[in-house]
Amino acid sequence: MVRRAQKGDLAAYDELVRRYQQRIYATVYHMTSNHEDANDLAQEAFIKAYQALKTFKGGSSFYTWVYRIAVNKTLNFLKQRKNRTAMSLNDLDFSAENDPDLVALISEKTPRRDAVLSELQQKLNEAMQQLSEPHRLVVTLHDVQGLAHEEIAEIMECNVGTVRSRLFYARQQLQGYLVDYLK
Amino acid sequence: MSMNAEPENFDQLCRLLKLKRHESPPPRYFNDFSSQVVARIRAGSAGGRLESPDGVVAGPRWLRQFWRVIEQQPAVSGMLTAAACGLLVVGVFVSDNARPTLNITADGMAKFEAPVTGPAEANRFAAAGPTARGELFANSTNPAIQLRPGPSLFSEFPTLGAPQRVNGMPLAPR
Repeated sequence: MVRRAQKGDLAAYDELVRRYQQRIYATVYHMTSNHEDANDLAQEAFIKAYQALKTFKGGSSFYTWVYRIAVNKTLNFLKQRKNRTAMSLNDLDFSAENDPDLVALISEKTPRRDAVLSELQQKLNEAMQQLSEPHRLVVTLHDVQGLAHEEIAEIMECNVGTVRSRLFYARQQLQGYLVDYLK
Repeated sequence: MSMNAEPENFDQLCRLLKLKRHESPPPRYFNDFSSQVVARIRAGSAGGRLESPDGVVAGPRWLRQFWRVIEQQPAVSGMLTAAACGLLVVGVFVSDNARPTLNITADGMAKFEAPVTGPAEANRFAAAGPTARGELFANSTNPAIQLRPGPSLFSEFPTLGAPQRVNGMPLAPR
């Protein structure tokens, strides 16, 4: 499919976009905490990937390659953004209230569990925005999206040790910001 | 401090971070995502901005965001439509009141008279000249309709008198 897209087959590229759109969007969204920015950046990443598709030699997987483009685009965007714009958070899906890990975090006797979750969501995103971009990216890719250290190292073009250390310090910082919610 | 000293310390944090996996974009958001990307690619290769086949605008960012708001919030589009209809009605009403009337004077000249809305304005217009009052006598430098009395059609033809022949047949003498 990548080869067909490289030859200019837009239908094939459409299929590739469909395959990876949710993961790319989610990465950008968790980095920016802004739905509109995530939408634009994810689309622009796919457009840039299509324009650069002829330079893709297949040294890494297409998935990693697109991820790298999206990540670089997002990091550039965040650097250029002088003032932090207001967060524009997506709603939590209905299954959040029944997630056992989240239920364990909040009291089951809480009458308004959805309100507690919304507050947690807000605080968590604020804490994420306090992290530097590389640390936020590692947390996003590993703890939110579940990528392996090796994949993250490939996407960020650094070694696995760097990924591990960034993850550790990012978690430490987050724990400090969210200490009231982690009792 | 060692990085792996107490890895279990982050268990609670990792549970909390799972919350972010539940943050999802609006329903049906991904339905047309790829078609928007492809439309923007096509627009870029065409050197202009086009619309995607499903009507999603692939224009500047503010326009796409505006379109998205309209798509996802029917109440907003309803309010905008109501506002547009209201403006249209007000516009029709105002233009109907402000329409100049066309009067034909005794000498055959067309005169436009602007509506006078109040007594103060009426006095002001009365004190001013005919042009200020809206009496627009047309001439070559004033592009208004001019209805000068033209020559009569009957005067353009010589008087023929009574017809002598009808269909080539001489009229019978009376």
